[in-house]
Amino acid sequence: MDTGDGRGRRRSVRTCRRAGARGAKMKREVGKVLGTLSVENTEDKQVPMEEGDDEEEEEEEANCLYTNLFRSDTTRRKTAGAAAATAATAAPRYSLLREVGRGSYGVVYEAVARGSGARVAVKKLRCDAPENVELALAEFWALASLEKRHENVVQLEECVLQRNGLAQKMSHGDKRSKQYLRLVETSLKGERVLGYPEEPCYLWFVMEFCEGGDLNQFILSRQPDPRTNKSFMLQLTSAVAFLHKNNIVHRDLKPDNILISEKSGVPVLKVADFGLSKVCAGLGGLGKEGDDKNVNVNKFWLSSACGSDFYMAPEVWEGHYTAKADIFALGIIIWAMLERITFIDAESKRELLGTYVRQGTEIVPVGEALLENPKMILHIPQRRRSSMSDGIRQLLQDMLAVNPQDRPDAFELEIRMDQVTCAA
Amino acid sequence: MNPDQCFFGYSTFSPVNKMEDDNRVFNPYTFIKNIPSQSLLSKPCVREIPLKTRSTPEATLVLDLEETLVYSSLSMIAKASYTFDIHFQDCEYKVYLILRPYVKEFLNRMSKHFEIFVYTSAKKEYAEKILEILDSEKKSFRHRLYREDCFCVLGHYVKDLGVLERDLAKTVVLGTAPHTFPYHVMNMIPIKSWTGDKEDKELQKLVPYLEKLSEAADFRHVLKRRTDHLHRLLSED
Repeated sequence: MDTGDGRGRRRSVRTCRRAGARGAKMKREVGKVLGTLSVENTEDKQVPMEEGDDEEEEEEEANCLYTNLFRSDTTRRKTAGAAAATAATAAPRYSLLREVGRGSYGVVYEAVARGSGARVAVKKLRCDAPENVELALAEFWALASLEKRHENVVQLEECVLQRNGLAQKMSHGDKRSKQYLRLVETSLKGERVLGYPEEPCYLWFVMEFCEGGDLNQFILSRQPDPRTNKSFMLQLTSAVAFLHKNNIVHRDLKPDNILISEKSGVPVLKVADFGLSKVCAGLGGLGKEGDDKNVNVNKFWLSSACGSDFYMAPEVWEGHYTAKADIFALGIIIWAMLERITFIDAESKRELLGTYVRQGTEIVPVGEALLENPKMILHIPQRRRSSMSDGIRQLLQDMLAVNPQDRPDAFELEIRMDQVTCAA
Repeated sequence: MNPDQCFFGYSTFSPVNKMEDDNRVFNPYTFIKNIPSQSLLSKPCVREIPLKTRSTPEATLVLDLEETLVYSSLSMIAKASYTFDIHFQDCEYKVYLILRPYVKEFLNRMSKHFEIFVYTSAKKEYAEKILEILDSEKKSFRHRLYREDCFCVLGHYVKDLGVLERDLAKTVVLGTAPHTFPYHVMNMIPIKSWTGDKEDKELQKLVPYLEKLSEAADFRHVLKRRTDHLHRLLSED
């Protein structure tokens, strides 16, 4: 049941293994429950920008009730009346331009920041179902815990919590915010804290906008280019090493979640969608500095399977894994990118980059096949006529090793990726 | 006007639909009615629950925790009888806990007639802290089921009595939200949510009823009368 192709997929995967056919049927049934939600992938459409946006925004300024909502609770209470008075000059900080993706988790918009005119992506997460709240908090925690920026990790600009017409900027672990405490409470209890039929609240994530779409679209809409491939391999490796260095295991790496920004002229990858990510903070270790010593993400065991099937490492299917699962997913993505191996996703009908194993007429995710038969030999490269170097071939083999311990960790991977891309 | 416009305004002529359907409010009855068939759910990693022994009462009582037996909150509860700390996403939070009037007597009385389960959608480490206080001697609850024993349907945790492997004719659930037991509404006694009313007598009132119920051949037949209004609601379109 989780992103674009749905919360559906993620959840059914997370709860436990499921038999293929039964799982698919279940997803469809769940779709019925959701009814009206059409499911699409983030950054899917390429709608040209409309002209004349500026004038429209002017109109809207006059329409807005509240002004600057970045105020502490107390000031907001005092100025509730004043807000109406200043309404004439009030303006929303972000103007939503179009919807770029939707799932049961919420909606993603392309928006423009009023002050700077910068394009941003705004993700609106509905926080009524307990699991949605957990995913939202997990994503927020991961993004907020990244104090330093990394060029290849999508940047969170700010997070806003909105309920009953009031919005407030949120910070991780903010115990003074009643609304934030309610979200934590919902996560802990697994129940809706607000009574029915109260209005749900929303979390809005403002993030950098990636106009280049996702990795599927980018790669598949262009002629193969070894230089781009090489650059993407290095960028992806660098992003994952950065995340792991910061004790974050992404847990859902897939081409859908890898976005492309072309602001600088050259395509820059951005790893996004941290809803399933896990911050492996040392238990009890509250100090951010001290943590690095105690936590080794490659040994930090996580439970509950998650991530999308085709990129899932064998051990993820069993529900116990470490950061090495990200390395496996990366192996699948890079292998698929280099050879342009794709499949059609049953739900979204989209063509996606991903490697698989053929079993009769069926295609089976590599991780699942390896779980069934750990001795299975992967044919890398898959195509007979391939220019893949021996170095890359060996590296992919290692990244896709059945045993997580045989896979390089992100730091070894960085070194080896440098070597093989230089040699190639 | 949509409140979003304060912070996030829609461009007047943009194709973004202002009246989004995602403003729908969660409706527990629609949720139960449209729940996917049980056989389609992927089972949580089911825990093996020890069978009843000869001395275990034949009847089974399944209790929800939050707002049924206790009320806990991260927001301050004035004069809370208990507090404890909980670790979540690398932060410590103080939790305030109050017990529903008559809860200890209720559990005492019930344990003579029922094998008692607590089945909560709360995270295990959270629920355990509450149970340490509520049932410090581990006398009341023979089995404790947590989040990991729940299923997740569209983001909502739901519970399945099948996990218990007990006779459903002899099983009764006491909880505040029927939608959390969507497959066993017939076994349910809905109880008023409790968030601190000191005059509350719900648990006390239920004691004679439950004692009598424990003698019945099939609880569901007895409960049907009680939950008739619920079934009417569910059959409405």
